[in-house]
Amino acid sequence: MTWLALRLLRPYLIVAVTVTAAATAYVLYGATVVQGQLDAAGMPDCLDPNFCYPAGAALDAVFGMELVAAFVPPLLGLVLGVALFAREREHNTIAFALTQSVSRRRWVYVKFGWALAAGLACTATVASAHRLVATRYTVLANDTYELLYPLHLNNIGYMVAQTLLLVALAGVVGLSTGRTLQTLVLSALTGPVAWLVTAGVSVLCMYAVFLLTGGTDTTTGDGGFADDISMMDPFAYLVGAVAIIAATALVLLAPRVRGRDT
Amino acid sequence: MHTSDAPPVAVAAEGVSHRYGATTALRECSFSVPAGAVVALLGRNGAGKSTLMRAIVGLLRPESGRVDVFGQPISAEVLPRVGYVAQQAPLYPMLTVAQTLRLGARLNPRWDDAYARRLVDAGALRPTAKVGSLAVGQRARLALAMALGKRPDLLVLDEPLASLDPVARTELLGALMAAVAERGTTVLISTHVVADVQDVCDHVVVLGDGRVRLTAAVEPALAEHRIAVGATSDLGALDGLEVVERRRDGREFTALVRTAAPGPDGVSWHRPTLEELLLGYLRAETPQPTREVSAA
Repeated sequence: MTWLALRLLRPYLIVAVTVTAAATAYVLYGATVVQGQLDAAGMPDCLDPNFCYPAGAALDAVFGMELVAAFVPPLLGLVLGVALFAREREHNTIAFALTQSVSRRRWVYVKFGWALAAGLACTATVASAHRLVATRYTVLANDTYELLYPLHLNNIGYMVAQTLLLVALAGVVGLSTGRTLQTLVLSALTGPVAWLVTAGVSVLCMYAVFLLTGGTDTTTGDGGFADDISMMDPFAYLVGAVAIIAATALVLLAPRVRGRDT
Repeated sequence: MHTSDAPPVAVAAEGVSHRYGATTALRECSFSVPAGAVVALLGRNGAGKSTLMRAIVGLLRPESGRVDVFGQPISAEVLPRVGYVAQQAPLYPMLTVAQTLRLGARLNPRWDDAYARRLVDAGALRPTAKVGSLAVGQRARLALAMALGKRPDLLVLDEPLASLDPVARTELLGALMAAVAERGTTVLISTHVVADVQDVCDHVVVLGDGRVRLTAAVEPALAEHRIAVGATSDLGALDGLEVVERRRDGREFTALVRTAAPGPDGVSWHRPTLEELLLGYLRAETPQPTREVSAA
């Protein structure tokens, strides 16, 4: 079963690994571009945009790194999740797979397991490169690209959870519709909604904690610009945890999902 | 549950109904398949054959009714005993023939590798050939080898001969019947071509408009029907008889009548061939209650 799941996932794994490698390489390249400008300005360690705001190619590099952080995690989720079951139903190979001596539950879980593991590894790679290498530079143009910031919050867990939730959502949609294109469109449309709901639930949780703790200020750091990098970590981890719970629920529900002809 | 003198049942369907949106595919279908029988499931295109077969192998959960396989609903425990070839014989096109066979070995505890390879070799399939590059007949043979390699007690085949040329049909049926003879496998084979199965089946189930119109062992069914041929002016001879289907051709009529003995004089009566019997039920336009003809 594992062999089959991996063999079926292979083309999408190749795409996901290629996207991951390209995105990670771009992040590393972007960082060297900005660092090069800082070096040229004689301020190699500057973290204050009031003194070393990037310009020209460096600003473009920051924009590129922000785009990678914002959109590569959901892209990986779609790459790995959309075809997971939709294609099997579309080509009716599901009729072959499910009539071998393997339970529907095991078949669904094994396929989900490998897709989720691949999503975790790929996004964790990109997100780690972004957090550990890029954020030290993107923080210099935070104000310029603040609309992209909520999409990644500079947080590895937040970005990984986006991928996992989208893999689970697209997988379940694919099981239900049995059409690849329909699954792609529906997942791309409902993915952001699911993420907003997840964030909303997290906000409510934080508010509840805020009320229970009497509004204790948990802010750390001295308020410098570098603190922006990790400023949203508590919230990002909470959203990530809620998203992973939602993804787990979707995966557990998946064996019960049947299309109109199943 | 069967009593000690009743034959064991491989498949038992009870009141199975299913709809696709506004279209009703199956209506209160009930029938049973005796263990060891070769059963032809016949019906015109869209009669509900595939839906019924998908329900039997667990790919479809019917809206109502119940399907038992070897006395229990289809489940992971029963699946190893069931082989299934879906319409168009779907297999993974990116795998080679050898990889597909290896897959069968990995996924099925009762897998008989030597037997499956023998079936594939008999079809002259190259092990390195991609499934996607195989001709339709070759793919059907591979799919059948995959189903038979499980060494199933029940084999469910959804129109496996539909896209094959006459030679491939004969070869495939030969392989199938060899398996039946060797192991006593129960076979449920669907088709809309009577000639495909008339020489191999010993039971028939006829579906029409989603209903089971006839479920019977072949010999008793033939014995309990007669074909009546006569002038249309003599149609009155059929009064009071159970007419399954009647056709007029100019001044003559032909009718399939459910009666064990010839009817009144004035009309020619003969025992139907299996094809005549099945075509009669397939042509019958008005929904009829299910005819059950049991072995004497």
